Order: sequence, then C-alpha cells, then structure tokens
Amino acid sequence: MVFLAPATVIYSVFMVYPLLDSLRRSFFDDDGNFAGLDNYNTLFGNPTFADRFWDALGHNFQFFAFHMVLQNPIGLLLAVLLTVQSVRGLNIYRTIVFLPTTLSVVIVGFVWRLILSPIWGVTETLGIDTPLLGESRTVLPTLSLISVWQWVGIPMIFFYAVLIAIPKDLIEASRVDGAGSWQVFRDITFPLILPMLGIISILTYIGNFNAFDLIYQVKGVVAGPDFASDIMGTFFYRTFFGASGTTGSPAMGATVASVMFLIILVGVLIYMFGWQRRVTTYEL
Amino acid sequence: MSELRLSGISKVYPNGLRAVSDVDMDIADGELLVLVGPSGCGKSTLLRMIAGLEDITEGVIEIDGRVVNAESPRERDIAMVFQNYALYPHMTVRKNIGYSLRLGRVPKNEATQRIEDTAAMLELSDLLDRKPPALSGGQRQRVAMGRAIVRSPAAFLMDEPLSNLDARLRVQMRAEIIRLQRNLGTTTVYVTHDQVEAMTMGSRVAVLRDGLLQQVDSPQVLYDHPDNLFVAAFIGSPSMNLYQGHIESTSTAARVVFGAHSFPLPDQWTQRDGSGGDDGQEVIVGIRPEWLVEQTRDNTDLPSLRVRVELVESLGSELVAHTTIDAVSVESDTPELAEGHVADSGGGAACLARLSPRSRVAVGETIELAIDHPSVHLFDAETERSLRPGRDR
Ligand SMILES: Nc1ncnc2c1ncn2[C@@H]1O[C@H](COP(=O)(O)OP(=O)(O)O)[C@@H](O)[C@H]1O
Ligand SMILES: [Mg+2]
Repeated sequence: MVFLAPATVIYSVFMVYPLLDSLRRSFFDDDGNFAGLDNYNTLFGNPTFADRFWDALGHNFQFFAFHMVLQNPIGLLLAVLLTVQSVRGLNIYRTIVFLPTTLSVVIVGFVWRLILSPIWGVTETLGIDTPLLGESRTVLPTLSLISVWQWVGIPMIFFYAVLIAIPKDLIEASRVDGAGSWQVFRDITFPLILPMLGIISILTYIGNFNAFDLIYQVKGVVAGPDFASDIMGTFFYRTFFGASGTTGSPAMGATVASVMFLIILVGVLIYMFGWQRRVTTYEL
Repeated sequence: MSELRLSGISKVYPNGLRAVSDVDMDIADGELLVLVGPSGCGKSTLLRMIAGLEDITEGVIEIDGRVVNAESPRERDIAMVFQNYALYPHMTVRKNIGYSLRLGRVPKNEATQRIEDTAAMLELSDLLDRKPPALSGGQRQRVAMGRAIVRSPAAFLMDEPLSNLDARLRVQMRAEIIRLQRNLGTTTVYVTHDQVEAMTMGSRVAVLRDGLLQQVDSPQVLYDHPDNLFVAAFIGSPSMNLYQGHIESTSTAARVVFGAHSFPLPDQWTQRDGSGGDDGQEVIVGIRPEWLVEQTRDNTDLPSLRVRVELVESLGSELVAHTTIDAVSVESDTPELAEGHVADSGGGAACLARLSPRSRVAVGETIELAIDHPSVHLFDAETERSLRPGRDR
C-alpha cells in the first residue's frame, strides 16, 4: 500500500481533482454563486443549447457506429491476415497499417483535406462530384472514415496480440475434428478473442466520445457545414470558450463536460457489468 | 478401421531442415504401432503429415489404398490426441467431445447418445458440463481421448499423450489406452520418446532417429536383435554398456578384445564361410547390464570381467552395480558417436551390471563378473550396423 501511495496521490491531484471540480462547477454559475440544477435546465431546456446538444450526441453515436462497424472488424480482419504464416513481409504490412496512428491528427486532417479537396484532390478523378467534406450529408461519414483509417492499426495490434497467443494446437485440433477455416474462426478463434473485442469496444467508445481534434482540425469549432459534423467534443469547446461571436461560459462548459463524463461512465458500467461478467477470459 | 501405408515419406521444412527422410511403414488394420525416438527426431512431423496438418514433401500416404496426400484433415477422417490435449477452453466437456459430431452434422439424438457412451467409457459422465480449466490433468487427458474416440475414425494418432501426467497416472492411462484400443480395434499410431512406454505398449515398435526409420519390429526383437548401434543403445533400461574393441583372429580361434578384456568370439558370429571375423576389425562391443552376473562356481566357463564397484543401487528386486572397467566406452546418445567419441578415459569406462539382490558386492571392491558372452552384441565400428548374422533382413 505504501508503494501505491505516490501513484495514488499523483493520480488524485491530476485526474480525480479536476474531474470533481468540474462536476462541482456545473452546479455554480459563472460568478461562482450556487445555482443548483440551473445549468442543466439550460442545457436541456433552452433550445439554443438543447438542439445543439442532441445533434452533437446523435452525431457522436454515428461516429461511434462507424468505428464499431468498420474500424474494429477491419482491424480484426487485418490481424487475422497477419497471422497467416505463408505471407511474406508480414512485418512490413503491420508497420504500414500502424503508421497512420503515429501521425499527428493535424497532419492527417491536412492531408485528407488536400486529398478530398474539390480543387486539387482526387475526388474528380474517382468520379465523385460532391465535395465530401463540404456537404452536410457526407461530412460526418467522411470524417468518420478518415478517423477509421487513422486508428485501424490499434485494434489490429490488440487483436493480433491475442491471436498469436492462441495455441496452434487448438486450431489444429479443430481442423482434425473436421473444421474448415471459417468454422475454426467461428468456433475457436472468435470465442477466444471475445474478451479483447469487449476491451476494444469500450476503448473505442471512450475515445469516440472524447474525440475532438480531427473535427476541429478539418472543420473548425463550428463543425460545419451547419453543425453537420458537430460532436460532443466540439460542442463542449464552443460552450466553454465561445465561438463565432458568442461568448463562452465556464459553468455551461463544466455542465457539458459533466454530461460527457456521465455518458462515458454509463458505457463503462455497461461494459463492466453487462459484458465483462458474462464473457470469460480463458487462460490459454 | 483402416490400414495405413506410408511410402517414401520425407519432410523438408521451408527453412531447409529435413525432419523426416524416406520413411516406409505399413500399419495394419487394428494395429497399435508405437513410434519412438529421442526428442526432435521427427516423430511429431511424421504424425502431423499423416493427420494432414503438414504438407508431405515427398512420398505417398495411403489409407485403405486411397492416396490422401492432397486431402484435408477433415477428409482423411483421422483423430489425433495432442500432447497438451488441446482442449477447447471455452467449451464444456460435452461440447469438446461432441465438436466433431456437430461439424459432421450428426443428428442431435445420435450425437448425444455417442457423447454419453464415450463419456461413460472414459468415466467422464459426471464431468460433462464442466469446462477444461476445471479439470485435473488426468481428466483432461481422458477428454482428449474421448474427443478422438467419439468419432469412430479411420485411425487414432497420439502424440506423446501421457507425457504431461505424473508417473503413477501415466502407467494407469497406458494400460487404459491399450485396453481401449484393443476393444475398439482402431488402427493407432502412438508416439512417445520414452522407450519403456514404447516397449510396454506396442505390438510393433518403430524406432526413428534424425528422421530416418531405424527398425520396425516387436519389442522383443528390438531388444534381442537390434539392427544397429542406435537401436541397441536406445532400447533397454538401463541402457547397454558399449565399448570400443576389435577382433583378433588366428586360424584356429577368434577373440573379441576390448580394453584389458577379451572373450572368445561366440560361434554364431563366425561367418558363414566358417572363418571368424577379420583380424583387426574394429568393433563396438555391446553388453546389456543383465548379461553380467557375479562369478560363481556354476559359471566359471564364462569369460569374466574385472570391475571396480563404485556405487550400488538396491532396487529390491535387483541390484544395479555402477562399476568401472578398464576399457574405452562409446557414448551412445551423442551424434559424435560416429567419430568414435571417447567418453571417459583415465578412470576407466563405466559399466552397469544388474545383479541378484542377494549378491554381496560392496563399494570399493574389485570383483569378477561373468559375461553371458553368446548374448553380447557386436557392431561394426564404421557402419554401426549389427555384425550378428543369422537374421536376414
Ligand atoms: N515448423 C517447423 N519449421 C522448421 N522446423 C521444424 C518445424 N517443426 C519442427 N521442426 C524441426 O523438425 C525436427 C523434428 O521435429 P518434431 O517432429 O517436432 O520432433 P519430435 O516430435 O520427434 O520431437 C526438429 O529438429 C524441429 O526443430
Ligand atoms: Mg513431438
């Protein structure tokens, strides 16, 4: 316990205290007077806030859905391909896929803006005549795909680590039992990586609901066009610091932050009690 | 139930390692063949080629006359028991055993029946709803067996299935496997690195060394008539005493000389043309510990060895004397064997003798041991092949 003390102290000072303070501030107004649930009433009752909030929340779930449906399955697929022994230069593929994760979001955003730019970009060559980042209909899916592209290396590495830990014996035993490649995956590999799927899902959830930088870099704080790419992160930023003429409100910002914390907390609780308790991790 | 035939089987791994070389082997319908050899000699590789888990570099594998080289494991209908059992950790015992039936689309009622029959046979009935992590080593081993048995496959392949069990359980399971195999009458290839296990289990034992098949025969023949030095040294426990020697022959008699010792070349070795061995021929002399007895009045006609007793192990039923003898021994298990590697010089060569428990040898004594010299093996020092004539092969 003594050895844990320094870590606990540092963690409390830099993580727990700001969190609690931010929660506290959501119950005060900007002048420091106790305001009860006023800030929350404003957030959910005042259409200028509430409309933006529900929009951002909806967009954030879409953003998350894209990652769950694309990033994680593709990461898994790539990891499975990496475990195929007969492919040459596996390390090179692994590095290439992982490379974008190491890039700064500023660079990623800039590069994709150039690539998708109607003026210099490739979209015309590909026969796409909509400015993908410029239209309400396409901007959020496009940003989601860019994010998926950048981060797909993470689930890949996680899944890969679990896949290579599965004893070859198990796979071979199932093949001798008569399983084809698909059945081996469905009956042996997949159940054994299920715990990791849960971990990756919750990490994706946390990451997505804290996301901010890519959208800020590509679309700015107003998350245009017409707030079509607005997610919780950008909504919080505008509320706290203000943007395009409106002044920010630390109290309202703290309120949004608290709600974001709550959303993530709910996700983590669902993971811990709805998933982790049911899915056993097997020692291999 | 099927017959397996391996013709000219070789395996070269992608890294160039030749793990199995030109193995020919027939395994009759219902037979239990034991494949034995030191670890790394290619046993698993050979077994995995039969199972279809490893590509066959050269040669043909036939099951009941059907060439299966290109067939997947599923098409070959062969069951395998792995050394580490390879039980599916997320499935109950019932599902582990029944997995192949599920894949084979066996109707549910029939599958349930077969799983339960198999479980009963292996005394697993009470454990059907447990998962492997909650089982003991012996129970896991039986589940692994059950997974093979439930399929009624063409053949069983077992890769050191008992090596993770403690000694007592191993002896028990060994008997169990023999019994099951006999009752089911399923063709079986059983791999082990333990020659004692091989000798007790197999009706026929195949000895493998560095990917090369050395000899396939009944345990007794392997023991009595090893084809070469390797088989002689590998089979038997404690293993054979081996010394460098040569033959001295005159027109009237021939003697085997090793170190300070010698004995007349027994009649059965005198070659067919009547002459003894060539004078000066380099040989390796192999004397099993059980062929050395204390010299008594009854065996003065036998040649004797003067040895110095260093250590005595009393095993109750017998007494193993560790002695030294004035000769140069051949280290049997090392690859340097061919170069006539010398194990110990100076202090004399080690010599093990299995004596009667009533003998009164004491440490530090120098005693005379009689050699049952007609039993002794001679090997050509160059080729390491047995010089014992008579068994044409
Ligand atoms: N996949 C592989 N690639 C290269 N060499 C291998 C492979 N598997 C086994 N070997 C080598 O082949 C030889 C025989 O191995 P194995 O069949 O496992 O021996 P055993 O089962 O008799 O201990 C060993 O030298 C081993 O290192
Ligand atoms: Mg092996």
